[in-house]
Amino acid sequence: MDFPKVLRPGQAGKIKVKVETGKAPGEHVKSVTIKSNDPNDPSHIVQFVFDVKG
Amino acid sequence: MSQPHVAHPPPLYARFMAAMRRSIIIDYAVMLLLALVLSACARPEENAATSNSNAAGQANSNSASTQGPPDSMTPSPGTPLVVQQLPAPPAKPPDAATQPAAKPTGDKAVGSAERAPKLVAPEKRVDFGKQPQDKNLIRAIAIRNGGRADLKIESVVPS
Repeated sequence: MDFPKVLRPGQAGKIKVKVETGKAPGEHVKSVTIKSNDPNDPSHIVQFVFDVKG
Repeated sequence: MSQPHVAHPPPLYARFMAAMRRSIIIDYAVMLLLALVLSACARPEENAATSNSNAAGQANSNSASTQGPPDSMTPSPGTPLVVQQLPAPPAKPPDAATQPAAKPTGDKAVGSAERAPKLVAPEKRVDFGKQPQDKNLIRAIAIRNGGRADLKIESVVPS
């Protein structure tokens, strides 16, 4: 995972996420948890959904 | 030979003016007499209660204000003064809403919610659709600090 360590107020950034589809066919849901010092959302979860063709 | 003095009657104009003066004087006298009679007939209680009630009230209020506090508030000379302590108001905790908004200086001190960092990530669910087997999907998630303090990203872990 590639992500910025610190973001200044108003600053934007990008978190690069790599997801492997694997071999199992069907719909898969994977997620990453972004842990930060945001007091209201210390663990922000982003889901990735994909359907592996068999 | 001297003629005897004969008093000539005053001319008509003078007589008319004299009569007018007399009538005016009589009119004024009658009006004054009428006013005196009316004022004498009116009772003083009725006067104070009806026609002059406002004036009486104002006079009372003015006199009360100039005479100082009423008797219930003034302590009697024999009793000592007692200071009654009022209960102290509840101590207010330092509220973030009452404090002025601080500038985003990037200090480590995050005392209030307004100065806290805020992670803004518009994408909460990314749909890749249909994908082949054994493929590496790479996606960049846009994030932004919508708060007023530095946002420190501690880790990004798969779950």
